[in-house]
Amino acid sequence: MRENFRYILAVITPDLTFESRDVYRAIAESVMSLYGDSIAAQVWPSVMKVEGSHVIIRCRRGTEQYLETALSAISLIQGIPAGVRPVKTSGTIQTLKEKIRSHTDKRDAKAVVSGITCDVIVDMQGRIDLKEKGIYHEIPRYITKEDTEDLNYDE
Amino acid sequence: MHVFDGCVFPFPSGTVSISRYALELKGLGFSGYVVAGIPPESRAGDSRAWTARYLTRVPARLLAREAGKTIQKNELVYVQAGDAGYNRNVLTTPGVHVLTDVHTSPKDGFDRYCAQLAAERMIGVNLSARPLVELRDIAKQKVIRRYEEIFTLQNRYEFPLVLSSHATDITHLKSPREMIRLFSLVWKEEEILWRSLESIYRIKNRSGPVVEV
Repeated sequence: MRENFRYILAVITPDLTFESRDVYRAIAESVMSLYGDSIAAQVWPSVMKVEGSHVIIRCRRGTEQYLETALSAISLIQGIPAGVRPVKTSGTIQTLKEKIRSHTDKRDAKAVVSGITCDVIVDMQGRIDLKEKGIYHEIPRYITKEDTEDLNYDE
Repeated sequence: MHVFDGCVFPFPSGTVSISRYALELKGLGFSGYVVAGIPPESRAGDSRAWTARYLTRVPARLLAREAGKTIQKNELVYVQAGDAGYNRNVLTTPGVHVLTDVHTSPKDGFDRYCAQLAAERMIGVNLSARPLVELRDIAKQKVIRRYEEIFTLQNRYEFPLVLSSHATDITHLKSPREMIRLFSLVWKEEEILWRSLESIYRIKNRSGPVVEV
């Protein structure tokens, strides 16, 4: 008999790209840690697609809540601090693919923050992430245009 | 609905600026948030952001003075929990809004009497989602058990619970739905969890000081 599946679209924060097997390991570890082998077998999580920071994960119908909780409980992927935020659940992958926004709406730039010039990535919603994380201790890593003194987009 | 993230730590305590928190939390569906460790003036223009004076390791004798300092508009007082005696002292101190970090207090640090005091004086008990995410194995199990005890006491005495992400980094932020999912590991009644996300608004707007007769 054919299994009924549900698909969950999730976003990885911060905006990093991981290989699907690394994302799978993090999800499987989280499900196992929270619920053990029995529920993990019921949920049967599987990473269907990774596109930039978006990921589509499959689970058995009726186990979406377990998977959503496990996704929310992820704090590391491949040893890198990251969160996985469930966004939408659907019965088909197609619906979720439509939801994945374009990844071309990001631009490299140079920003001046507290007198320090640094390389940043700017998205169209006004989010600015410093590229050289951990180098500047005197300015925050995640900012907005409001925090910058000057912002010049790279050619 | 006034869905609030009970506590976030901006730069320099964390890696995220306040304006970035505002953008992210709005995107996640929160109608407001409480920022700890910054002066209230810096968020004067933002009605959705409340600031909190986060008091840690304050000796009991200095508590009344620290908590009683003039409270500005949209400012709250959070006090880190200690042993049972200290917590009772906190809960009877005027000006305190929220008792926080209860999971770090010793066993029986938050007992029935504390629950009763919190309910009478409308003082919130803060539960952070971070230990549920970051801890592993026995440490996580201990936190789940401690939170369960607090939910059981809340069910009986009906003191306000305040759910928060305690975020210092962008990866720690959780949407209201994620918070509900994480806390549903501890307590299954979603109605109480949703009410807990709104309770900081009720605590802030509580009517006048409680007078014992």
